[in-house]
Amino acid sequence: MKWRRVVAATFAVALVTTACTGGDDDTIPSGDGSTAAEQVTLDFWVFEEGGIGSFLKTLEDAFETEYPNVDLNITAYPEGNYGVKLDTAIAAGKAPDLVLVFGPEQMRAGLLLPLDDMIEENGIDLSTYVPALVTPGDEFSCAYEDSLYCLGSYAGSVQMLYNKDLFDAAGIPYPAAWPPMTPDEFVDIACQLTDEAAGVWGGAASDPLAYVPFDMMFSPDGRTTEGYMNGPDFVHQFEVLASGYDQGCLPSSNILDPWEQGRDFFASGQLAMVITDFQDLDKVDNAGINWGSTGVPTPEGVEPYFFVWTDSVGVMADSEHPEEAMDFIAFLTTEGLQIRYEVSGDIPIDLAVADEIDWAGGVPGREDGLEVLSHARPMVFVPNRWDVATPYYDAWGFVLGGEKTAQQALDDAAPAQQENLDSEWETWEEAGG
Amino acid sequence: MARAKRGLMARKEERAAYLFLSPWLFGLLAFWLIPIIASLLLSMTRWEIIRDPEWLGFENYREMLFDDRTFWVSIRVTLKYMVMSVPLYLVAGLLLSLLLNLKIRGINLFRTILFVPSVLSGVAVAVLWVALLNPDVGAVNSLLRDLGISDPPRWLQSPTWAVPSVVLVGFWGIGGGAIIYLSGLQNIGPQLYEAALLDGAGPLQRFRYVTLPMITPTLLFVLLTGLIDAFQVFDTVWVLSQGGQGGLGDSLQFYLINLWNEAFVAGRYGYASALAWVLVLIAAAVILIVFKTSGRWVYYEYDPERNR
Repeated sequence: MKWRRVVAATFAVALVTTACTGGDDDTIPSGDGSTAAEQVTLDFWVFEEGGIGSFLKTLEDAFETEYPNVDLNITAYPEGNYGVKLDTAIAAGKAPDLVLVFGPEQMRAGLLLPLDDMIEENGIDLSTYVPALVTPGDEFSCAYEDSLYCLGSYAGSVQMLYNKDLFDAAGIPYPAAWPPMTPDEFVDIACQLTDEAAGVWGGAASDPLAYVPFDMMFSPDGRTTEGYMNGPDFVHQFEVLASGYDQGCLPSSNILDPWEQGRDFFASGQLAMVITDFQDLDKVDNAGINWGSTGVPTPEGVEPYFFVWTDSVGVMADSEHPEEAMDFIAFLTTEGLQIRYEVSGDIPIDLAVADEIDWAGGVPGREDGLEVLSHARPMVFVPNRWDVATPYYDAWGFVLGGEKTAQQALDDAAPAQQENLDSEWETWEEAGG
Repeated sequence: MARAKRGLMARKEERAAYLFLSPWLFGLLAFWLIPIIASLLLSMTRWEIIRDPEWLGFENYREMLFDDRTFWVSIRVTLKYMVMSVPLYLVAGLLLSLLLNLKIRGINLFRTILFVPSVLSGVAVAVLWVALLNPDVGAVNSLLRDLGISDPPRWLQSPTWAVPSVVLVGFWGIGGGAIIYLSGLQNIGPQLYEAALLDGAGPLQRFRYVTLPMITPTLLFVLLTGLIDAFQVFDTVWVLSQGGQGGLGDSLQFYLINLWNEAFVAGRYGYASALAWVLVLIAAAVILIVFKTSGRWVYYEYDPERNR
């Protein structure tokens, strides 16, 4: 029939057209007949709510200006979907060139390329980088065993901000930036600073693990939690913080989430101390708060630990353009630091650069923050530690609700947490094969 | 010759029929049958997507039944929710429909008002209820404290009150069930009520001997959909538990929440497939029991067996 000839002809044309069409990478011929730099597209997947932010847009423009043959294609996914999306893409053989690294599992599985050669070729001095981010151990570290698999542009951290004017009014001396006060002192000072009539809480912290080192809950090899999380030292941390809530010196997370709202309440003068992310400080500065920063409260005799992180970018091992991808990471962790500072004001991951650009700008709180950051250390490695610690959060909920004492709650939680820990170690070791 | 011609035409028509059915058949295969078979096979493997599946046989099922505490917790929580919610929603929906069946001025407006919540997004409703049920500053507990209850429940943050909180949130949507009952009520012939009145039946007796038997087919439908919904509850609980965290003491560890976490958080797709198949078997068993027993309590006005 006539329609069969039309279909066949269309199919033939499509075949011929496809055969004659090149791939993504076109070689751009120059006028004299020689071949110029190969045009390359780098796919970079990130997780950001609400689409790509202004930092990445600015970074993309700056990188493409310096590397005109590279088209950086950034795609943003919601954080909750990112892991599944990436895993599916890897299974389908369609992984991007650049990814955000969110744990040592990818490094261990050989999914990422080591950056050591790139670091050496570009003369990047890691000795002035935030230590916990470039040495093995911490969950957010870019280092695994003897190599580095990712780098970033900024250093986020958890610190405690305090309102100096409220301290002055109460006649309480300022805490030193380092070493930090103890949790007992934190609750005690919070109760002194609480002024119900004026609507001021003395302090805010979400739960003990916001400041108590994870190490206290685990053995030094990270394989035992029973006996540690329900031992007397850790039980005391529960009791201390719970007493702060009971006395009305600390708002519960139902009223105020220190992570999401801490800086807002602090900037409005309603919080004397808050343990929160050391980021978005412009709103605190612009509110005219006379503030300082110190390390998170730490029990006596324990080496202080606080969470640090960066926008850890790595190169997928299957990338078709590893050289260009490495160029991007080198750009991110050098010129990208300046762009990050100009766009979002975050602390550069290289503390020497933070000094060069005068990140603190004479603000005492910022100077305190840099000093705190220089003490960041890795902690004991526990695979998938947040899922392991689910029983800990249950225990805290029971204590806050008044249904159990701290000892009872942690005694009940310890076996379940040990079971979780054993299971995660088993999975970790099986994956290492 | 005529017979051969008819046979040829029949075959042509058959081919044409399959041609027209082919898009649907392709969809059935590609999006239903093949994934179901794949899921069954995957349920017998260890598969973490970034590695090839490893055949385990029935090991996932053995682990589920004998080694996985969370599996049994999720069964218990889901069954608790089902036992609490299904009868409550059934009765509440029926009572509401009796009210909506009254012949009073403005009844259509009331029907609309009571139906609208059931068409709202479950996620949006759950976000609203998280704020309402905040134990410290939520509107519900503020009202209870004003009424003199000094220590109101902690709702979603209490192991005792967590599942009842989810049932409470579900009451928001009983208007949908009430409308289905309403259609059943309006199909009851008025002559039945007239006959009952003539026999001296009061309101309760008319309900017991006329309304209830005549509405049992609708009751069966609402019961079955209620049971299926209870097994499948996910989006509302996901939001109420703040991202599938299982609630205090696993009090909100519903079956599908556990399945989701095993698949998309732990990355154990093989094990999650096994959980899905076990859910199918449990749900099928429950529904089969309901169907088998329905003959004793469901009244069909036209019974093919009796009217032969």
